[in-house]
Amino acid sequence: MVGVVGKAGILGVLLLLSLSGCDFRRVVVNDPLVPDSLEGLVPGKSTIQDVAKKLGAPDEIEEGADGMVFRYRFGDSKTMRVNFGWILRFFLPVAPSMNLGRGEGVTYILHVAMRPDLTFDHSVIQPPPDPPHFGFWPF
Amino acid sequence: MLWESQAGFNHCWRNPGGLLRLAWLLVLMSLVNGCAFVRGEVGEPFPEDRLQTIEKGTTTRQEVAQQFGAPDDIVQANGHEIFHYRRFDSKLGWLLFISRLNIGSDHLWVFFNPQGIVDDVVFGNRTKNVEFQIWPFGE
Repeated sequence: MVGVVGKAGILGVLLLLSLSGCDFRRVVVNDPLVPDSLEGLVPGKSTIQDVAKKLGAPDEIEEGADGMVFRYRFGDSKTMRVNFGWILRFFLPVAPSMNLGRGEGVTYILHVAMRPDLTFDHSVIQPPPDPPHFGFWPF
Repeated sequence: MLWESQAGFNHCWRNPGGLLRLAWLLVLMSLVNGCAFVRGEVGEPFPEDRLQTIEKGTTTRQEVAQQFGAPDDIVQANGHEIFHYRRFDSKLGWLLFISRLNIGSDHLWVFFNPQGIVDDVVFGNRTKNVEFQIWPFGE
C-alpha cells in the first residue's frame, strides 16, 4: 500500500521524466527598452551625454539625413522542443529522436535622432511587440 | 559507524517503501540531464581608469588606439569619425529541461573631430546587469 506522499512522489517522478523529453530555452539580449526613460529629453538642448545617461550607449550609430541616428536593441526569443522518441528508451535499447520544435523571437528597437551639433532631436520607438510564446507545433 | 551503516542497510531491506524510493531516485538520477552554468565573453572589459584617460578636446586618435587597441568599427557620421569598441558577456543557466541565456553588451563610442581630437565619448556598461538565470518563463 502506497501512501499519499508516495503517490505524489511517484507522480512527481513520472512528470519529471516525461518532461525530460521537452526543452524550454530562452535567449534574452540586453535590457528591455522602457519608453518612459525618454522623458525629460529636450530637443535642441539635451546633449549626447544626457541621452547616454538615460539609455546607455547605443548598439549602433548611423549617419542620418541631418545628423546621426542612435539605435538601441532588445531581443527576446523562446524555443520549445519535444522529443517524442524519448519515452522509447524505457522499451527499446536505443531511443530514436523524434523532435518537434518551434522558436519565436522578437526584437524591440529604439531610434534616437541627434542633430548635427550632437543634441537630441527626436526619438522613434516601436509599439511593444507581443512577447514570444513557447510552443512546439511547427506546422 | 559500521554498526550504524549495517543497521541502516537492514532497515532499508525491512522497509520496501524506502527501497522503492531509493530505486526511483537512482532511475531518476540516471535519466535526467543534470545542470550547467556556462559563461561566454567576447572582447576585453573597459576599465574605469583607462576610460578616464580619454579627455575631450585633448586626447588624440593615436592615444585612444594605444589605450584600447584598434577599434572594432570605424563609423563616419555627420563629419565625425567614430571609433566603436564593443564587448559581450553571456551567462547560461541550464537545469534538466529548462534554460535561459542572458546576453549583454558594452559599447564605447569615441567621437573625433576632423583634426583627430576627441570630441565626445559615450560608454554604456550593460554587462554588469547580466545574471545567471534558469527560469525561462514569465517576463
